[in-house]
Amino acid sequence: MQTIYYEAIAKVQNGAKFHIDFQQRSLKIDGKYVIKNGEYEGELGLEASLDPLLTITQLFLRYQHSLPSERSDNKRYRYFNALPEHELTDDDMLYGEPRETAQIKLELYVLIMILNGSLKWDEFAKDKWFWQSPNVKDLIILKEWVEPKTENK
Amino acid sequence: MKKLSVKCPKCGTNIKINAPEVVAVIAPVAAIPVATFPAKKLNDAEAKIEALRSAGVNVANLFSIRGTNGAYEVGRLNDGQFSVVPDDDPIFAAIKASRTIPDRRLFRRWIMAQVFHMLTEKDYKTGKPISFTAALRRKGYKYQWEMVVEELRVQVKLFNNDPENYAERNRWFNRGVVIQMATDYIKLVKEIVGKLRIRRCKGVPYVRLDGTDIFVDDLQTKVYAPLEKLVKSIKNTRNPGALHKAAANFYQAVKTTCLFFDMEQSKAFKDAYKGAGAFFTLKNLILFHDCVFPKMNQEASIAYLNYLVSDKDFEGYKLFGVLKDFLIANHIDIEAKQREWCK
Repeated sequence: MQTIYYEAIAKVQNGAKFHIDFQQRSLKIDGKYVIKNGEYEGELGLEASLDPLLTITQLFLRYQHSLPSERSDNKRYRYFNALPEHELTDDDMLYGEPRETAQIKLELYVLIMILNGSLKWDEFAKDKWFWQSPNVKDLIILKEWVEPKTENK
Repeated sequence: MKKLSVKCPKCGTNIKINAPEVVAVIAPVAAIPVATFPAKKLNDAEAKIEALRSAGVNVANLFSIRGTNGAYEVGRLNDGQFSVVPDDDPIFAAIKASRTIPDRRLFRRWIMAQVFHMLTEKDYKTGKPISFTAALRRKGYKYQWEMVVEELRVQVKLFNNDPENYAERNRWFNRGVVIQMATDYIKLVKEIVGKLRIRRCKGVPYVRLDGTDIFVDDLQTKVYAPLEKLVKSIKNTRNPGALHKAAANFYQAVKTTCLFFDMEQSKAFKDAYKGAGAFFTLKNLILFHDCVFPKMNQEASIAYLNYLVSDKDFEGYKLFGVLKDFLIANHIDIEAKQREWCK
């Protein structure tokens, strides 16, 4: 059996809809929970990383330059911003990844890094409410995604 | 009197001026107001040429000339012959009509991107590459009507604004293709009805077509005849606007009659799709990606491409074959490029 990460990507490539909620720690594929409140069955498929921000930046760049479609444009909520079609280069258009695929790769990677404890807010953005990549200014991660506020606080 | 040396912030020249006896505030050089030199005002013709340049049009052979009446015109030097470019030139007409400058650099690159991605699509289960036709079939039957109706809508606008572009697009998606698609649809419906289970209501036979119950005796009057009437209306169209409207009406009828994802797309549509995809991909590759046909330069390649499509009987699938050979001849490995992009 494949792992959650790669199986989810394969399903999205085949046209499945998905929704990721960082605060709720959940992943829905075609309306069914695969990860709910941080709980799941099977293996996530990604090892803990010492430098998750590097991979996040790489995945973000791919997502930013990915090829949009009507389906991706109609998506209601996105955590990260990608470039509109007229700002893409010819190479992006011809050889770029479909935007939905690039999106799930990035968002699910972030979620898994949160779940396996690799992405700890205090280690990279202590005392800040958002983190901006020093190299890629468009990449922004909010604290509430990584450390959601609870009602009791 | 004491002399002060001041450097002009515009041209860098050192100027010596008499220093005032009392200097209350010494302003930095950048803060000293400098007389601004008015930018050279472009005349009408130069402005037009600039607009074309920014739109990516080659303006090497265009000039601004002044007539005897004092008005500026855009002149073109072609093979030693000098001529005035008229204001109704397609490019000027497009700028005037849309109030934007059409970006020729971005010209139909969506089509090329779509063709490239469809050429490398893989089977969902096995992961093996599938053919372009299979990738097109995967989009479903509805796609052919959605795509054609939208294409005809755009053609209506181009018919007035950009006749050259209209002709290129109408070469592939035109009235003949729509008639064939509509005729094929009626045949498909008849095939589907033929395979349906005959039900009975008080002994009267009826069929359930895509959720609608129809008496067998009423099939001709309620299903086929309205569709045939719509085909006739497509055949009677004489301009792009009427064709778009007739095609949209037929698509509306398709939606209410029967529409399944796995219905076979019309052969005419598939051929036009391949032809248009191949034509605009080839044109883009030649114009903007330094690709050429073997032993030809850019100009000759475009001329050869236009020669190929000038024959109305040259089918789209043949041009698609030309595109595949063209990609090999120009060493374009799409999958390798896609892997490279991911790095």
